[in-house]
Amino acid sequence: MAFIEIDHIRKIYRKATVTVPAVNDISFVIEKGEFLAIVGKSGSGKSTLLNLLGGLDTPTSGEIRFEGENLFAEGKDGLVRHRRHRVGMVFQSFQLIPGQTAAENIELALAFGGVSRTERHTRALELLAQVGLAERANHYPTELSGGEAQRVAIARALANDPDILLADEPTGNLDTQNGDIVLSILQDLHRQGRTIIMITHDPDMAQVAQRTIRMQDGQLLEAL
Amino acid sequence: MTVRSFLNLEHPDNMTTLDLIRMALRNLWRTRLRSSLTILGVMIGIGALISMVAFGSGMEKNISDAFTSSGLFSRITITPVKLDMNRPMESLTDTSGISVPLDDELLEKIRLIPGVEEAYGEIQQPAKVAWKENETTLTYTGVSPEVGKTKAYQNLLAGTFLTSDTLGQAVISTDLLRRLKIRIDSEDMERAKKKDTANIYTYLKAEDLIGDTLLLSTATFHPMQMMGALTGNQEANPLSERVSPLVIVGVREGESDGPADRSNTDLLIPEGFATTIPSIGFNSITEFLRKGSGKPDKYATIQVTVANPNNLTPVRQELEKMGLKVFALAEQMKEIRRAFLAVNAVLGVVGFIALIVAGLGIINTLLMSILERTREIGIMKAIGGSEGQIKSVFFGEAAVIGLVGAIGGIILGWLVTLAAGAIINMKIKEMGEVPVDLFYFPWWLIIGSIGFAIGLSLIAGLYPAARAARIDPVEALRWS
Repeated sequence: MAFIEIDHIRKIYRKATVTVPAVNDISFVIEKGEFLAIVGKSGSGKSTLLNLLGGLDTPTSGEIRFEGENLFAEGKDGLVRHRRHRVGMVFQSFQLIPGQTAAENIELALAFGGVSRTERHTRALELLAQVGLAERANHYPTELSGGEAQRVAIARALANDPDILLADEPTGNLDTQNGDIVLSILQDLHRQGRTIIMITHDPDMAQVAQRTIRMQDGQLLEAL
Repeated sequence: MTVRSFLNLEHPDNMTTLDLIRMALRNLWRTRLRSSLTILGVMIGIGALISMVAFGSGMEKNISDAFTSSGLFSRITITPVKLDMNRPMESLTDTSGISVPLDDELLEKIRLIPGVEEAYGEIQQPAKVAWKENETTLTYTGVSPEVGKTKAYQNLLAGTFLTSDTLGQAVISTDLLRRLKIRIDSEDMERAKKKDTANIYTYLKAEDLIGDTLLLSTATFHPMQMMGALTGNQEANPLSERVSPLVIVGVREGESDGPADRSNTDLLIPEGFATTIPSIGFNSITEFLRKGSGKPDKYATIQVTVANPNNLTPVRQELEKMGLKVFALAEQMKEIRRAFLAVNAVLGVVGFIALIVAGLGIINTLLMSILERTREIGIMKAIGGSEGQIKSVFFGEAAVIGLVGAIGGIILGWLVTLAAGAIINMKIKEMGEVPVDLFYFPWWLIIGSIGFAIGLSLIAGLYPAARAARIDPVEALRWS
């Protein structure tokens, strides 16, 4: 039994009269501790696949099994548990909550994850230290550089110690220098044993991954 | 089923109410102008509601307090049974229903009923009363000097209550003074004098009247002379007049409100003295008819007071069993209270409408807030927030709006009633009347309005919160 099994997954968007198959009958497996890169042009369906893996979206048909257990079997409650404890997500545009400081953004994820009030702040500071931003704890997202914001977002994704990190073009909005920092953090996390699934359109970025899969028109083009 | 499970709020221990309130306060602070306008809406709604209800409660309290302090609530009045003049003539002499005369024997019996504090009779007769050249007609009341101790007669402005049972004494009311063209309104005397260009009134202090003399003229009826008159005797006059001088010993506040109203207690004289005044003999056709058939009523009414208002109903029932016609204002008060309930309901509805508008304001604010924070809601879902928790965040905001609005509204309402009360009392003083507390805030109104405001806010939050919870995170994260 593979760690993650993507089994004939299909997601079709219906817009007015046309139906757009964003993900069209994809099957593959991901092993535990793997660093997987998914590449493809925009509109190839890679983000939709990542959202399905993250439990943010539900498929039209097919299953995604984590350690043999179908993610979509238990409805909304199952998806909430999955997002809280099993996966952490990082986005191209950081997605920090604007009115909250770096520490508070992380504390909110900890609160959702069931960490007690007293522990939250300490844990948030530890996580920030892990991404080298301990001194930025009380800064608001607008006061952070892009690279810093993305590192806070990674720290938040790690808040509830998930096994899997899902990153949707994490370096897409960053310059090379900051992109490299983010990438090396992901590599560190991989070395610590986490499963990393990263979307990128940059072949160079894909180089750091152990395996790259290419998507086109909602289908798997080739396994490299 | 708890409210929380009804609202489908997931609320694990880790996300405490305190967290929610902090988060709500912070979110409201981010859009402080809009939040404060919404809260102002709730404040005005609650302020309107509570000042309206406080006005109704104040009116009710003033009336019921006035009755309580006057002792009217612990009093039962017994009056002679009235005959139904529409009944056939022969039944008028049927004395079965009117067999109990209001006399001393009855008084003694009433005093023995458990729960009765005091019972006293009142003699009432029509008469003419004169002070100097001014005169008026009235019905005077003869009472025992003992009744001066009861609550009802504690409103003396000058002098004392009746001190003797047999002397020609009088306690007169301000209403009677007015009819005798005497004014004792000390405060606005000067102004009143100026208005009184025809010099109709005599202006005095209440104290100046003590010791002065009134002349009471009563008529008496001689049946034999009546026979003579009917048989053509020119000398025979069945009616003769007698004048009795009365020394004023006390002046009391009148019981009526308007100048036209008059009361049987405007002139009180000692009961013993009253029995010596020859009178026309009967007040009514009832008494006349009863004279032929049984014992006459000595008293026009009997006043019964109970020590404890709770004894009122059992005593009244006991008196009714004795075949007496009774009237208790306390029981009428139930009707009055019911009327006030209706007044309060109408006033409450006006305030309620203001609150509904405020509720719409809350819905509007929360919907705006959701629109602006769509992406944030998406983020919360992506990092593990459940629909229940997201609902809780918006309910938290609604509740804070409700709570702050309610407390602010109570303060606003209180200030408004304070100002309104001061202005109205200024006018009342100008009119020479005694100022009153127009508004009354019972504790249930304060607690109730806070609960109501929060309840309303949560109801207003239902739709926005459900809408926020349903937001598709994929769409929301794409939102810019």
